Amino acid sequence: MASASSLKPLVEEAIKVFTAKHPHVEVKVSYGSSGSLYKQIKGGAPYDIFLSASGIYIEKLKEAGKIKKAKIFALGRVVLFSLKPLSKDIEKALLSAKRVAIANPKYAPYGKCALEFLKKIELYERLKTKIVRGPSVAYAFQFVASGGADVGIVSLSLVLSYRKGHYVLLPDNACTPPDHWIALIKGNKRSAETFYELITSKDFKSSIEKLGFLAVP
Amino acid sequence: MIEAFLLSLKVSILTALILTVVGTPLAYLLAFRRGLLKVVLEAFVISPIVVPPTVLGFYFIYLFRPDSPVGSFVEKLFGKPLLFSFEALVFASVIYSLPFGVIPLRDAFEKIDRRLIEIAYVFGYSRLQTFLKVILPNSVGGFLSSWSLSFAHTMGEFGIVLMVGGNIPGQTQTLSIFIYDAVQGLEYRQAHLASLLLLTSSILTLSLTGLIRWRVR
Repeated sequence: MASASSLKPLVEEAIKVFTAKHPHVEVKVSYGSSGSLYKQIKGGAPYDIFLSASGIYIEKLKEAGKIKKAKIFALGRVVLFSLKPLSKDIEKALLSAKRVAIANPKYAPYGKCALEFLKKIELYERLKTKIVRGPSVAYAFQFVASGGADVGIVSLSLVLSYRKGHYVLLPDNACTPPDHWIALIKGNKRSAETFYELITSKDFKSSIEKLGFLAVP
Repeated sequence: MIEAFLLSLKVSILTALILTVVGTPLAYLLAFRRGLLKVVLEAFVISPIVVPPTVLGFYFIYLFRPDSPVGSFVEKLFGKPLLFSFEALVFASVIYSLPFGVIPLRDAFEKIDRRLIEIAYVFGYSRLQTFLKVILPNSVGGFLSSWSLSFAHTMGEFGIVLMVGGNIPGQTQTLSIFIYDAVQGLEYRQAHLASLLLLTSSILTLSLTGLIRWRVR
């Protein structure tokens, strides 16, 4: 299995449920950025399942004829995160920050959302010089967690698994939410099909929500 | 791309120059002192090779962040945060390329015929005079190697910049970061062009120092 690092808590939870039911199947996961995993799969890496934090790569793999089927199973929830207590007023919190960490909007889905949001509330021009960009949402998160940046626009799931710091959810209409996909790669093993069913099943929805994502019907 | 290229050149040239200044006394100590201090110092000088760049960068964040002693001191002094700045990048590069700056100098100093140095002392030269009139003219090759190695090493630096840079165009977005971004964004043409620029400019600079070295001999 290949999974975007941002989905790690979710994948681990799914594996726990899966191996409880199928103890004889051994699940192996490679974590990485969706982009680099995409390149591996395109190059013929022997994965059965690909969990991507962006639909672009699924689209490209479909074009390359690598995918049997694919589905959105979760949407990312985006928050403003800080180690110090945050004002509920997001604009105020952003303006009083010295450094704002985001993921790179050029290719990281949470970064795209952050940029979209900042442009929407018309603060981007004013904050431009304060923005630092990490290569993924995990880096952006780490910039804040290490005290390098005072606030960051990151995923709720990261904040929940870190269990420290403070966060304010971005409004629902803040941006097009990052979509998380699961895809079955052609030539997959039978057990991979079962795993696919599990992640997209009704029973798994509560786990998805609990870990900071929105489950997709 | 040009902006990132010029920034890379600026950081690399500056780093190599600083290393010549800082590295000379260090290399002198390593070449002419004996005992435990020398051994420990040598291990410290070489240690940046052992630690992976991203790990080094990770700890630099802790060192440079605004509430650390170093970070807050610099911020008070210059009125702007150190982390995610050009200065932080240069400082981190100096540490990262330290072995490449110091070791060629140490070897050059060690190779000088001891009798030359002893004769200088017999003629009543002070340590400084001996260094300037005997050691320095006899280690030009070492200085050129030190300079070109630390220049080249900094040009190709990636992991540390990713951590302490924050990817700010014109300030901390170096050419290697630009290439990474282009690859992640699936802009392969840009990536190829920038890689070519990185490679040719580095080979040109290295050939040039090689030429000077040859002429000096």
